[in-house]
Amino acid sequence: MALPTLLGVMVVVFVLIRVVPGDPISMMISGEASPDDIAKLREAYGLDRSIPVQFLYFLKTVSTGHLGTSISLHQDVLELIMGRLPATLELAILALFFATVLGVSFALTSVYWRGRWPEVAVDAANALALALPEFLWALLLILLLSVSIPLFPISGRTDPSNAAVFHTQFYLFESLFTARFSDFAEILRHMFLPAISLALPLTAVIGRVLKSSLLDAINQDYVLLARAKGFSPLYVLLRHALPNALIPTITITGTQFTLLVGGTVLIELIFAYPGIGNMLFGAAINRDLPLMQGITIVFAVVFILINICIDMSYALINPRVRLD
Amino acid sequence: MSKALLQVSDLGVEIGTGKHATRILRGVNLEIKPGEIRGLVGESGGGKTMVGKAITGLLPSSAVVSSGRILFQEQNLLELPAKNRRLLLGTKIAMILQQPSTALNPVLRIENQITDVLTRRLGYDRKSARDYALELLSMVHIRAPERVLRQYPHELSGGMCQRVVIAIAFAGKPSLIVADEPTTALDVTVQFEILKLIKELQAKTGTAVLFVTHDLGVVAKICDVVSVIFAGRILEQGRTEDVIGRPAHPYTQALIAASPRLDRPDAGLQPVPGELTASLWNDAVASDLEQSHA
Repeated sequence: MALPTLLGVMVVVFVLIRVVPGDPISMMISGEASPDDIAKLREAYGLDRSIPVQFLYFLKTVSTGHLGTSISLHQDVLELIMGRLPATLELAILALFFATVLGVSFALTSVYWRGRWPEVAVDAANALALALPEFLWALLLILLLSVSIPLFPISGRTDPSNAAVFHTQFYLFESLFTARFSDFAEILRHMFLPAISLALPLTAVIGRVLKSSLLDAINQDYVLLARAKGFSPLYVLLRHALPNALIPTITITGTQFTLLVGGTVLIELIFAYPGIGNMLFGAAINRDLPLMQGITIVFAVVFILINICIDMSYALINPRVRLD
Repeated sequence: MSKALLQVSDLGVEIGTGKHATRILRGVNLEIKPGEIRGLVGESGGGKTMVGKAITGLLPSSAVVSSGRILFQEQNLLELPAKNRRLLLGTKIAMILQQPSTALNPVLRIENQITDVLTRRLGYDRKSARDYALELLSMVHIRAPERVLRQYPHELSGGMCQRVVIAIAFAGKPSLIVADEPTTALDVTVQFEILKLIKELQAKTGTAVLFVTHDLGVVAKICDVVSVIFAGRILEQGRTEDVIGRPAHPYTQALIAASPRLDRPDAGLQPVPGELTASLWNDAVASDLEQSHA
């Protein structure tokens, strides 16, 4: 299923970015270039051919494991992306982590204390988190936690003065796993605001779906039987209701997580965060066709991988779909 | 006459509050002696399940006990703090539910569903809990207990699931088991097996059972004593052979007449006169109907 999907994405992306207005050559040359020079450049990048022929050339490049050369940066597209992708992945995973922890605690709080004030408070917080899109949260949080109360830096991934050496592009994970906790804290401080802004709308979705699944689960017979065993309400909720309620929640979290990954484009722009979303924006400004299509295809691959992960986690938690 | 294990007196339960309250149990009196099987029989909607839930303290959140006492081993359960009451469950009072297929948690292995009550409530360690779980499964005549422990509920038949539920109920050697229509969802041959099993374990352990059912045939097979409930009221109670052999109350007679008979296939099916509808829960209508049966 993954390959046809990917091919479809490539066709759509390829055609779409060629039919929209804007010419990469006119963006890269200065005013004095002769029509002859322009024609030569167009030929050099293969842009004088028809779109189907260009696509076949592109497929040929892809089949050799490359995504072409960036027009604006004059570097291999795949290398450019691989240099930036880890930053985006780390941001998305951290956001997912925040959203899951917050969303699950929201749902558990409001179900455990249902009909009392914590439920009302959590439901209100949830509605608020859902009401604003991630980029508005980003601006709001910058104003609150960087400008009014300067707790967090507003841009970048690390402090420019930080001389720490990293062997991979996964700064956050590397500093964590090599136990360099001061570097870890420093990077986390930079990533906190963008990750939270990305996480808030997803938090609300997880909170709502999980809450309604939990309310459904606690009325099931197996919860009645668990209560008849004399277990505490908290144990019944966590051990007997929660695993069942997580099944629908994981599905929706997966689809919403792809939206979150898409949301990184704007968030990275707002926080000047050096990921591929930011790079995609630059590529679009410069009409850098190879870079744009490369990044879009990488996004598509990430989406497909996420969906595979969801299917796998689904089988992990639900024994009824487990394959023997 | 031995002392009652459980004595329910004047129990009233309402759903809703104030003007909109519906009384679903009114003045229920019920007594269970140690080691006896008490049948509680009535139509759907008659309130029989609610009696069981009131005793275990697992009433739905919309229902409240409005009157009466539930004396269990001489303490009034209704006056116990919620936590103390909960701690009786699993140890002294256990439950068997109607739908074996939904009574077990679909995402947990059978082993965890038996051992969680053993380790968390009955003080077993992991190793001895597993051994005892195996023992319990053999006790309910499950042939390959090792394999069943590793399985999930959806891999077992309804009858097997009910055996597991029964094993869990007997695990804490409780003094009272509330069995809410434990055979209704099973097909007839399995029904018989399960009845036999409950009777056998009950005789072996000396546990008292409140057996809630709509099926007089089942009552005749298993119960020592029986109470007939209608519209939230106990109409008649006594020894099973007396109540079924010489029913005093017209409603009991109607209920017996309504049981399909294999020996008289031409007789057809006799409906119980009157209907349990929402309006019946109005006191006036209820006593009217009771009068009409009388």
